[in-house]
Parts: sequence; structure tokens; C-alpha cells
Amino acid sequence: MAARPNWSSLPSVLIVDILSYLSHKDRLNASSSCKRWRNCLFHPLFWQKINFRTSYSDRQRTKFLTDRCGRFVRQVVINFDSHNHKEVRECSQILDVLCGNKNLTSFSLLPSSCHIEWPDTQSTYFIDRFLDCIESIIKNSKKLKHFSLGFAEELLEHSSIILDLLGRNCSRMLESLHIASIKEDSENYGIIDLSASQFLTFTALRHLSVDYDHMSNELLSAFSSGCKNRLETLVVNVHGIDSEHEKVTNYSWVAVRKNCPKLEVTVNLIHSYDGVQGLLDILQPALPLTCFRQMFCTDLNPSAINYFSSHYKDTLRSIYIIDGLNDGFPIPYFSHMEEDTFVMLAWRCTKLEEFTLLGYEILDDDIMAIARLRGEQLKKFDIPLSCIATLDEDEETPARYAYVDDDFVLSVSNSLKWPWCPKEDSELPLAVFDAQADAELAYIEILLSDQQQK
Amino acid sequence: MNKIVPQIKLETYEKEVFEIDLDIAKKFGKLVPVLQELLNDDKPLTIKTINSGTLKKIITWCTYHKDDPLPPEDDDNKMKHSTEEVSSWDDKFLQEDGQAALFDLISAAHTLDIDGLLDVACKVVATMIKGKAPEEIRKVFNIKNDFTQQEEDQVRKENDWCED
Repeated sequence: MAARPNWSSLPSVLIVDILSYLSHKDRLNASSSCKRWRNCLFHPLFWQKINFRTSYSDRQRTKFLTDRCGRFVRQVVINFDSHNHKEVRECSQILDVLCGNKNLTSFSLLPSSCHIEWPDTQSTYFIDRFLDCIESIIKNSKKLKHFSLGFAEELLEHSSIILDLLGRNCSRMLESLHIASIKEDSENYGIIDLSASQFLTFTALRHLSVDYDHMSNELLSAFSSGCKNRLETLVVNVHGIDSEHEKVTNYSWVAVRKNCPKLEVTVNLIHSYDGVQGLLDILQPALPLTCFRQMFCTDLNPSAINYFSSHYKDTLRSIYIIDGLNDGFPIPYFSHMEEDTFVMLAWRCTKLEEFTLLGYEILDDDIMAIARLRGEQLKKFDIPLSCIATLDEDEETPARYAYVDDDFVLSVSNSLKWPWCPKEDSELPLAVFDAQADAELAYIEILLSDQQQK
Repeated sequence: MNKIVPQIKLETYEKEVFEIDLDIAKKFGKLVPVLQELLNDDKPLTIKTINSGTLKKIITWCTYHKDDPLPPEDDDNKMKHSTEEVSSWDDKFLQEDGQAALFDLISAAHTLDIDGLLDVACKVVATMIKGKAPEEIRKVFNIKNDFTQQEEDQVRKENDWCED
């Protein structure tokens, strides 16, 4: 009971208590005062979530945080450049440490591409090591709520084993499961075997992303009346469409919606010419389509977009379409109707908040109409300047592109009640102009956002 | 008619014995069952790590907060909420006798397992730390810098990595 107490001698539970009332910054300062306080900084309480990055500049940080917190951190995201051998190696070292973690509630592996360049081209050592680690992580973490593997195609080929493991170890905990993929070659790939019954065990599942290849009436029955599952988001990635793919019926969707009234569905067509052509077979009136994206499918299906206008007027909030230009010119599409397909969509779909159309021709008048119809509710409205077509009064001469003036930009802005501007070429992904460019770079971030923990 | 209030006896570092009403001692978390057993005992429970001044303060605090609702069960998985302000009564009460008294009070509250008091006391200490650089914190809390120069450089580096 000294006149000047020595605060570093406080029991560590109390130091942790005090630190817990501080902001992260203040906590770092307090724990820089002496060794005892320093040790308390590495209490699991303060390391709930770590975003590991393997880029060169983050290497030391990642090594430090892995060693210090890898065994107890609860939520983990690993971002790595999957085309870089060093980063793949480093990712596997992080995974090694995570194998001993029994606290994990959230695990997200986010490679920068669907393709991982394994450092050993001769053997399967690294891929086996990745899979072994993922297996141990699932076995050890009985509290796993969120699981995603980014779009790593080679890892996702083992989805069936992973799903069984998850089912055995955290079937009542898992809320969010992402096993949808991106295919390196969307026209030629093997479909892995997954049975709908493997999904039945997850009684807490609320967010799911899968490939269309695995969508079936039976799968939806796992979320229909009588089941405990209350699915809130379902993301379906469409690549090729197998000629024998069973049609998911409207009846199944009705049953799912009855059980899961909050369900929102996102459909992503990725390099999927099949998907564009067969879109009307995928869609059903009762499917609660909230978000529709198509990435480099080389075609547009105006009939399907018209179908959106009639059936998803109360659900559709976001539409994102991107394709490469055709010899430097936007791709025209034929509307079949007097009014433009997208104007109809903006008119009927009153919940629409985001509209992006990159690579397709759109008339200046139609942009104006969409802006007027949805007004300030439209929060995102991305149209490239070079895709805006202007017709002369006589409508005889061919359209001119990129011909809008300040007055036009101003009146669109006035309708939207926010400062709108068409996108300059420099703001667009390279793949819009260059057919040789890696298209995946243009969309992977957008698709990964579907996997974020909610 | 006088109701007999059950009392417990605690003996401090100075061998002074305090008689505390049981409904005040019910704040003493995990100690309550022990104290209840000693209720009919004549011998006081000796707690050598607590001095009389501190125990007096603790009795004052427990009396003032006698009717507070019990704090919710501790959840290790959750960060404490720093949103709830320390009442001006608590703030004045905890700081009026200086830092040494506050230190003794926290240690004693820990020994006696008085959650509510620990909470506010830690909050008050945290407020004293806020916005200060490590050197200032050492000065205020009489903490000896036991890092070597090398370790200190390492700490600085680590702090950069810990920012996210």
C-alpha cells in the first residue's frame, strides 16, 4: 500500500478490463508502457477479427499477427495473390497456424483469382497441404458460422468432402456457406457431385452461394416448409448449362418463399452464353430476384429483361451488366418493344437502386428516362460515355457516340438529385476494351462481395 | 420493533473488524456463499490485502449502490461497452482520495469480487489513459519502462502492424 502504487503490478485480468474500455489506438499506447501491459494486449478479446494480407508490404505484419494471434483469433480473412508463388506459400503458412485454432467462428479464404498457381508444378504437395489445413480447421472449429473459399476452383472441386466435414462438425452453427465458383473455362468443366441432402444438415444456414449446376428442386426443398432453415440470401452462379439440368419449378420457389419470407436471390451469369440464352428457363415468377449480374456473356437477352419487369418489380434492386466492346463500339441490342427494355425495367421495378450497363449501346434519351423514373432512389447509375448513343432529329443518320454535353449531364443529375457523370474510358475495366485482357479482374471483387460475412 | 439484520465480520490489514449488513455484502459476487456460511461464526474473516480505509470506501460504495440491478453475466466473447457513462457520484467518489486510493480500491474490489465497482473503476482509469502517449502514461501511473531500446523499437513496429 505504497503512496505511489505501481500500476504495472495489477492482476492481468484487471489490466485487460481497463484496456477493454479503450479505443484500439489508446490500447496500443497503454500497452506500450511496460511488458506486463504489453502481454495483455494479446488477449483474445482484442483480436476478434484479423484480415491477413500476404502482399510484400504486409509480410512482416502478417507473420507477426499469425504467430501472435493465429491460434485464438475468431474471425479470419486471408487475401492473397493466387498467381504469386510466394503469396501462396505464405497463405499456406497462415493456414498451418490456424489448424490449431479452436475459436474460429468465421473463415474466408479469398484468392485473387479462381486459379491458384501452386508453387510446385510437379507435385500436388501444396494443394494437398491447403486441403489438409482446411480439413483440420473445420474439424477443430466447432463454432464455425461463416465459411468461404473465394472462388478457388481447385479447392472447390473438393466441395463434397468439405460439405460433409462441415455437416459433421458444425451443422447447427453454420450460418453462411459459400461454395459457388468461377470457372477458368466456363464452356468446358466437370460438374462435381453434390447431393441436396448434404445441405439438409445445416439447420442454421442463412446465406448460401452455389453454382447453378447444383440448383435443383431437391436442394430448394432443404429450405422449404417444415425445415428450420430460414435462408435470407441465395447466390447462384451460372456458367455452362448442362443439357440434362433439371428445371427448378415455380412450385419449389413458392415453397421456399413460404418458409423463408426474407429470401433475396442474386443470379450471376459468368462468361455464360448458355445462361443468357437459357435465362428464361432459370427464372420463375416466384424466384425473389434481388440482384442480377452478367459478366462477359457476349450477349444480352431482352426477353429476359422484360421478364424482370413483369415478375420482379417488387424485388429487383440491382442490375449489373458488363461486356467487351465490339471493335471499339458498344454492342447494340434489339428491344422488341416500342419502349426500351431498360426503360421499361426502370419503370416497373420500383425498388431499383443500382443500374450498371457497360459495353452495350444506350440512347441518351433512355438514360434520361431511367433517371427521371427512379430519381434519387437510384444510388448507382454507371454508363460509359463511349456507350451513349445520340440520334439526330431525323433519326436517319447513324447514331453518334460519346456526344453528350454538359446540359445533358446536368439534367440527369437534377433528376437523380446527385452529381451524375458518365464513366470515362479510364474508369472502366481494361477487359471492356481489350478482348485479351483478363476479364476476371473486372468482376472478381464484385462477386466476392457476395461472400462477405453479413 | 427492531429487526435483527444479519451481519458479517471482516478483519482488515490493520486488524480492525468491520460488521457489514448482509444485504450490502451481497455485492461481493463469488464471496457471498462463503460469507453466508460464516454468518453465525463469531470469528471475522481476515482479508490481509485490504486496509481499513479501503474497506470503509467499499462499504460506502456498496451502500450507495445497494439497490442497483445486478449486472448481466459476464460474456468473455464480448467487448465491454464503453458507452455507458460513469455517474458523477461514482467519478467523484473514485477520484477524491487520489490515485493510490483508487489503486487499492480496484485491487480490493477484485479480491471481494464486486463487479459493479470494478467496472466503474476500470472505466475511470481508462479515461485517465485516453489520448496519452506511452511516456505520459508511465508518468501518470508510475510505471517503470522495462523495455530495452531494442524491445521498444520492436513495440513501435508492432504497433504499426496492429493498426488496421
